[in-house]
Formats: sequence, structure tokens, C-alpha cells
Amino acid sequence: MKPTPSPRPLSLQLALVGLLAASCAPEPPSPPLPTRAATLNTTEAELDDAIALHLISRAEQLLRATDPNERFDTLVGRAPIDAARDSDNLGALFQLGDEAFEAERDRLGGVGRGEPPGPGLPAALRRIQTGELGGLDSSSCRACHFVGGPDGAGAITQVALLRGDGQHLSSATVRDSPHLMGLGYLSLIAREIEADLDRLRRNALRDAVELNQPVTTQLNSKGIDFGPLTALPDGTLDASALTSVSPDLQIRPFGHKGRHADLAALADEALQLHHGLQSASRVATYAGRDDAARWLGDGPPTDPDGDGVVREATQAQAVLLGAYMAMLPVPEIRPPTDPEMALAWSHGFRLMEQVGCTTCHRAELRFTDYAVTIAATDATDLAITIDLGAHGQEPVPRRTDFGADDEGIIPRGVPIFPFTDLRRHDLGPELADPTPEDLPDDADTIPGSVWLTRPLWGLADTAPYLHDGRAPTVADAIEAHGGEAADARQTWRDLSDSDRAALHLFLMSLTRAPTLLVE
Amino acid sequence: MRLNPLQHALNTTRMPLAAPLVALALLVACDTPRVGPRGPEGPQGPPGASGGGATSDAGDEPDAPSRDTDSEPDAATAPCPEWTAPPGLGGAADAEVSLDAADRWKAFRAAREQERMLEAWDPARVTRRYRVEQRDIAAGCVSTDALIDLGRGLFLRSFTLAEGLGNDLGQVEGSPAGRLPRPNMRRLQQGHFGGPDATSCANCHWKGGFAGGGDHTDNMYILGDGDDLSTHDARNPPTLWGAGWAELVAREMTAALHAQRDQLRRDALDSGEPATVALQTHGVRFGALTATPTGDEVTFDTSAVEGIDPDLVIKPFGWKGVFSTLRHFVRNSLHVHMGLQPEELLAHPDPETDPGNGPDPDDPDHDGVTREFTEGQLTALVLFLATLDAPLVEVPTASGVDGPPYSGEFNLVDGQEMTFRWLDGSAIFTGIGCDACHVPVMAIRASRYTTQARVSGESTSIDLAIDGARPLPTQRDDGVWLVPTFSDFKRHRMGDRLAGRHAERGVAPDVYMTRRLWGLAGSAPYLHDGSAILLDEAIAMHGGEGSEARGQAEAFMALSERDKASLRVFLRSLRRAPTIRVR
Repeated sequence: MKPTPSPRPLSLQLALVGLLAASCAPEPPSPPLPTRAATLNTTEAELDDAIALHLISRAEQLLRATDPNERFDTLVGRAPIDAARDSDNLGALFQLGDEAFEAERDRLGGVGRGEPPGPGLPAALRRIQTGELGGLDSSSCRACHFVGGPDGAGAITQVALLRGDGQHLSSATVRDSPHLMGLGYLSLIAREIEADLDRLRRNALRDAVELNQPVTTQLNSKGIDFGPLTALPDGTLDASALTSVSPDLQIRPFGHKGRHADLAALADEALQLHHGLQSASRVATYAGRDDAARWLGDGPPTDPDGDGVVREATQAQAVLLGAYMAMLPVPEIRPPTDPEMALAWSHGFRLMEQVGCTTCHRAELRFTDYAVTIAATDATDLAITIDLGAHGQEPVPRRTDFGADDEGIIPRGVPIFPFTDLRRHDLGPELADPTPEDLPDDADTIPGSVWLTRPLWGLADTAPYLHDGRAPTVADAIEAHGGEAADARQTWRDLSDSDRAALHLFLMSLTRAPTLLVE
Repeated sequence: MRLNPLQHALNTTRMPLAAPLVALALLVACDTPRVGPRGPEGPQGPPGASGGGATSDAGDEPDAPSRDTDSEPDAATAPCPEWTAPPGLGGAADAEVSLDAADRWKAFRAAREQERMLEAWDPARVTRRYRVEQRDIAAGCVSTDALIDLGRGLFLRSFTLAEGLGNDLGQVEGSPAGRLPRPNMRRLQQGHFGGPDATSCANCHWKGGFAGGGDHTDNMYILGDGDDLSTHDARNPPTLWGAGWAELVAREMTAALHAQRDQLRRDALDSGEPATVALQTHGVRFGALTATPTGDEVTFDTSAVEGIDPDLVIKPFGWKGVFSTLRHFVRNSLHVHMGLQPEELLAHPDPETDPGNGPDPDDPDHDGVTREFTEGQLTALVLFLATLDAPLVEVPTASGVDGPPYSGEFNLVDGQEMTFRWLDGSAIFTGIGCDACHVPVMAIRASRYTTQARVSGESTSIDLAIDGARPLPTQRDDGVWLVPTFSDFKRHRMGDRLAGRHAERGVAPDVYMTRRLWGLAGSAPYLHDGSAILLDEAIAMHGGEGSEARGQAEAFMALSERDKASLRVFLRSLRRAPTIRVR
């Protein structure tokens, strides 16, 4: 997402004039346009904003040309985060985050591992990653998050080839990169669910101790069933029957398997794995452990990845990128304009419910508080709390309907429409990875066939589908669902052709608002 | 040594106008007149170098008789079929920043959004929009603008199994494909068969703007075993802007070289003695060609020919310069990357392209889909690419650059100072000899672009001056186009640092065609494998053992940090004109 710039200085207005001149006036008259909705009319302010952003990125390019280190400290230091928190100027932080997201990371900033092959020569690329150390498989976040628009998904060519031997395609775990919109709101929901689960856990523990017998409680939050948890009289928990969530009851909405609970951790691991930027928090976690080389590399303690740069993926960078992602807008449902198709579209949604898709791909979730906290994962006090209602990029979810539901209850909170239940499910052997996935910090091990319900919002812009991008179409993706989704798949198969088309049509309305760019 | 750019311009013998001067001239290119098809050839132009019939010299192109057709309806032929064009922008999209352009792109985006839903509802209806037959183009049923719109649609399209995406060779014994079910994608390619590794052209051509380059995540890995990276060569997707103009440059160069060859043949036959000519065109030398008369014919000795194949055809596409036309390049790419098998490819097999070993010769990728990409579709895609706007040189000026407003406390970029840095940089570019190979400007006469279908022999011809996207290259008063490609269109030995593992289409592992630098600002990462994130790294990689550019690379390394920075400012000015896009 491109940030909204602050009010433009006069020089930008002048620049606009210059740009228009440079785009080769006089332009030929535009061909007559088809009739279109009035909302398509671009306002001058909208265009000016897009131009201003273009000029900023152009200026950044020139800055880097004259002084490659010019912006380095700004991007890796904590000063901008502290300043944004103290002044409540989150817009500036978002813009800086956008710069960090789009910046081409280079050797000066610590990209890659090991010594470059010669003075002035580039770091070695590793399209197929090596174990937990990752690769150097891209030089910017944007490289794999641009399909469908800024902060979008990755193309099939941009799949990550994770945890391989650095050489063989067949050794790697394939992951399609998802879009990043709305992640801040998923964070909010995750924290609220965790609070509910924690309360249930504490109640069960208290009861087990009081009754001096095992107490099993059905974990449930926001109408989502997370399965049974048993508290034992000795004050311990038996979570062995729990498959929907890790035993620590943390909700991890990020990663195809539910890998990360918060956005700073997600950003931190991405910097490490994709750009070969040594993660400071990872060093703090693993330095001195027996398996340190597996996670950090075998360089000297001050520079374990051995590339001669010691200050790489700082926690400040992870928090900056995490804050940026948190403020991104939510996707949109944009229905068809043709009346016949609009009817099919609404029929398609009913079919999703009837088939059972929405049992896991729950259309609606609600949150009550807009405040999201992005914090460093090491012990520092680096953290920032962002009121997304005030500082989120538009479109921000807002409550517009205060009516009662079927049972006469007025639901609390602001709805979003992510089409997920934020829990894990077993989807059977057909979709399974050959090996289980270890979560960071020994938190859990997720079996090969278990996946987090993928949020479907924004889906229309994210082809190809599934965790490894194997499905070119939505129908192929549905066909691959087994395990807990096998019954729903059978119902889908039993639908008439036109019903399947209607369901597909509905899914293709899950998209995003248009973004005007000057490139 | 630093040459004053204007002095240098006067001293140079290569071109009537030298680099910095022309680059400055490009800045004021904005009143480029819209011109019709060019008039008679000027003094430099060899016969046949311009105008419609230029396909005849394209080495890999067909033997089929050329039937040049205009896009005029032909009453004698069958009536046009009913056809709904896919969403478009009304022809080539100028690089333009205006409210009108923003509205057009928004309408385009909205129409595509609706089409995507229509496709879920009625896929066949949408697929039909993206198919067109060459005979209908020849009969004038499809306007040039509609063809370009269709080409853009095909460029953006995520192809489907029903359209022939991928292959079903997973279970076919001895097949060169992977072992998965349809579409049987494979991120690393095998041999001459390919992946397929993509579902859309736009997968890999997006960076720096519409139809731009790819990141190194988008690299293709070619000529390997499909699994082990150390058996492959990497290729970074280049930007596509100005592709039509690049092909026109190549065609004029080829025509000139062929004219020299023809003259040499006549000289040798007339004199009855062996004759030698120093091949040279557009200021670029290609070694020497010798003709020895044998009876009433001659034998050519091409052993002293440099930087070009013995056929003396300039091949401007591919990192090694192996495709003479966009058509050849696209035809191959569709199969290799997407498993879409153009009927032209199957009708005229390419020895360097393995179509697969399915039992049905009309469906060698065995997916049950035949005629996966028609000649007409290929024509549309080629014309779309040919009409992309030409990158320009955008000198930073005081009014054009400003620091990021959020930087607040410091003014990051002083425009006037940047202007002078650019001047410095342009002088360094020529001073250390980058321009010996990265020749800033090629002068050509013709703006008519022709593409010829191989099976039907039908040619489709447009004038880039009329149908191409703005900005166009600068046109001088005498009608000559100044195309700022920053390349000599010649192959060079680049040394051990840049050497790959395999020869590609007969071109040695360490030999590459001089990369065109226009549009460079948006095309990071650099080099054929995208390994250089920094410009400095890309330049340093030119300095390997055995590289023709070693001297220049070492001269660069010896520059002061300030001079290096000035050169970077200059290189960053090679960019595409700003344009609207709605995502």
C-alpha cells in the first residue's frame, strides 16, 4: 500500500507541472470512454497524492545513488519508532515503513551470508534456501508481495523454496506468498481470542484444583470451537487432544501453518530468510546454544552470518515493518454490476454456507478494540501501540450496522470479513507437506497435513492458490481439500455445474479497492 | 580524464550526435511530431531497411510467402466472425500522468474485475474474447487498437488448463517434464523443454512498472535437469519497454550488414578475386567478412566476423542476443514458461525448443488441448509489446526532485546540484568508455513495424510513430529517429565472473549481447542472473578475467566515491516516463 503523503510543499506542485510537461504534451485527445460509474472519476487531489509518492520514491533513488548509506540509519534505528509514539505521528511511521518495504536491500545493509566472492562483487544468490538460515532469494519485500497491487500476493514464479539444501528443488518446502492486507485486524482478533482461551484455561485449572479431579473444558471463543483442554488437579494441563491451536493457546494467524502470532516476528523472520539479514532477536535466542550454527550460521560470534556486516535485521526494523503491515487496509468484497450475475453472486454465498465452506472459512469475525501493539521480541522496551481506527489506511473496517441478529441480540464489535476461523485443521494427505514444520522458539511442531484456515479475503487477486501455489484455479484448490474438509468437498462435487459456477463467482468478488499509482 | 560532454559530442565519430547531448535533447522530446510512415530512405539507410517488408532479413523467420496486408476490410473474404474484445485502453497506452489517463486505467481495472467474475460464471465466453485468428486480422476484422488491447489482455492473463496451460506429460515415459499432474509446473526448467514455471507473462514482468522486469525471485533457471540448481543457468527477466524500437534498430543494422555482404559478393564476382569487407553499421564494427569467388557464386569466410552469428542477423532479444524478432522470442517463451504451444511453433519446430513427447504431433504436451495459441493471438501479443513506450533520459532538475516530505528536518535532494552531478556522470560514462559498448543512441529511419505469421505467411504491419505508445524516441528534423537504447546490439565476451554453465543457441557461456540500459532505473536487480543489487556490483562484475569490458570496470573501480556517485546519478536517469497505473 502506498502511504498518503502529508500536505505537499510548493516544490511538489512545481514538480507536478514539470512531470506533466515531461510526459510529452500535447497529448492526443482521449478516446471516448465507455459509460462508467461516477466513482471512477479521479480527483486532482488523488492524482496529486500519487504523483507526490512517485516523486518521493524517485528522490529516494537519487539519494541512494549519491550516498548509499543515507537512509540506512533511519531504517534500522529505533528513533523513528520512538518519535512516532511520542508525537502520535503514525502517518510518518507508515511512510517510513513503506520505504522499508519497497527498499532494495543490498550488501551494505548486510544482505546475504558469507564473504562475497571478491571486493565490490555481489553476495551469492540462493534461490533455494538452506535450512533455517534461509537464502538470499529476494532483495525487497515487494518482490513477492505485488500481485494484485501493492502489498499483494506473490506470483507462481515467486514461491519461496524454504528449508532446503540450498541446491535441489526437491529438497525444499514450497510456499506461495500471501497478500498482506488486513493483517493488523487479524492480530486484533487473535489477541481477543487468546484472552478468551486464557480465561477458560484459568477457570479449568482453578476448578481442577478445587474439585481435585481432572476438568475438561471445551475451548470456545467468538463462536469458534477450538476443542477440548483438560486441566489436572496438580495444576498442569493436558493439551494432547488439542489440534486447532498450539498448547500455549497462542493464536498464530500468520503463515500457512499458523507460524507467527505477531507481525514483528513475521517481519523479522522474513528479513532473515529472504534477504539473509541476520536477525538480532534470533541471535539473542540461539547464541550459545548447541544448535546455534543451524539457526545463525558458523561465523564469528559478533557476525554469525559471516558477511562482515554486524548490524542487519534490528528489532527496530522488524517493529517498523510490523507497524506498517498492521496499518494496511482491509480487502473488499466488490460484487458484479450485471444484474443476472449479481443474483448468481448472492446465490454463491448461500451455497458456501450450505456446502460447509464457511464452517472453517467463517465469513465474519468481530473485534472490539482498535488498539494493536507491535513489540520487539527481545527483552527491549521497543514497542508501539497503534489505534487502527485512527491511523489505519483506508479502507478501515467500521461498524455501520447496529441491528440485532437472528436471536435478537445486538452483536458487539466491528465486523471484518476475512473468511477464516484462525484455527488449524487437518486437510488430509493430499495436501500434506512431506515433513512436519517446527515453529520458532520450539513452540510447537505442526504435522504435515495440518494447516491454518487460509483467510479468503482478497482471494481474487492471489492466484495461484494453496500453500504451494499448485492450484491454478479456485476449483482446483477446492478439489484438493481432504481430511476435515472432505465432506464439504463431496458436497461441492455434488453441486450442479451452475451452482459451482455461482460459488466460484462469489469467491472472485473477494478483491481489493483499486490503488492509483504513478510508476 | 574528464571530457566536457559537448566537446566529446563534437569529437566523437560514432554518431552525428553524442551521448550527453542527445540525452539532453531527449528531454525536450516532448514536441515529437506525430508522423506518418517514413518517406524515402536517407543516405545511411540501405535499400529495404525501412518500410513494410523488413521481415525478409530476419534469419529465423519464415520461408512462407509474404502477403502483406493492411488492416483494411476486404470485401472479397468471408464476413468477420462475431467477437467481443476483452477490456482494453483503446490501443497503446501512452506513458501519461493526467486525470484522463487515471480515469481510463480505473475503467480498465473495473472492467477486468467484472470480467474475472464473468469468467467464473461462464469461462468459455471469456476465453473466446482472448482468441483471434490471423485470417480475421488479415481480413481487417480487428482494428489495430483492438489488437493491441487484446495483446495487453493476453500479457496480463493468467492462463487456464482449458486454454492449454502446462502439460500432462507427468506419466509419459521418457518425457522431459516433471512428474506432477496437470499443469505439471516446475520452477527449474529441464533442458530445452522448459518448466513450465509461470502462468502469466505479467508474473515476471512487473518490476519498475507495467511490462517491466522481474526480481531475482522471478529468475528463470534454464537448460538444467529440473532439480539441481548447479546444473542451470539463471536468467533475470528484463524490462520490455521500447521492445519494438529495439527490433527496428536491429532490423536496420541487419539490413545494412546484408547490403555490405551483397556488395562484397558483387565485388568478388566482378573482380574474380577474394574480397574482404570490414563489417560496420551504425558506428558498430562486426569484424571482417571475406568472399572468395567459386564459379558464379562466392564462398563466405565468416571466421573473422565478431559479435554476431555468421548469418549477420542482429538478434536483439534474450540476454545472449538469440532472438531476432519479438515473435520468435514470444513464441518460444509461451511454450517454455507456460506450456502454451503456439501453432506456429509446432508447424515450424525450433531445434532449440523441445515441445514434449506426447504421441499426438498436434499436442506434444499431451494435455488434450490443441492450437493452444493461434497465429492471431501471437500477432496481438507481439504488437502489444512492440508498441510499448520507449524509455527516456530524465535529467534531475531543480523543480523535478524533492526530498521525502516526512524527512522534515533535512532537505535531502538539491535539484540544481543533482543536475550538475548528472552532467558529471554523463561525462564519466563516456570518459571511462562505458559508451564503447553501451552506445547511447542508435539512429534509424523507419518506424514501421511488421510481424509475419509463419504458417499463413500473413504479415501485419503498423507504424510505431502512429500506433506506438508515447513517448516515442526523438525524431530529428530530417526524419531520423534517435533511439536511446545504450547498446551496440553486439555480443561481447564478458569474462569469467559473468560466465554461465551452458552455451545458449550456440552462444558461448561467457558471451552476452550488450544489455540495453534504457529504463535501467526501474530494473534492479541487474545482470543476466539478477545477482547485482547495486549498480556498483553490476559494473564490478564486468571486470572478470577475459572480459572485453575489464578496462572499463577497472577504471570504474579506480574512480573516487564522488565520481562513482555521479555516474550512478546519470544511470538512474535512464528511466521510463512516469505513467499512471491502477492496481
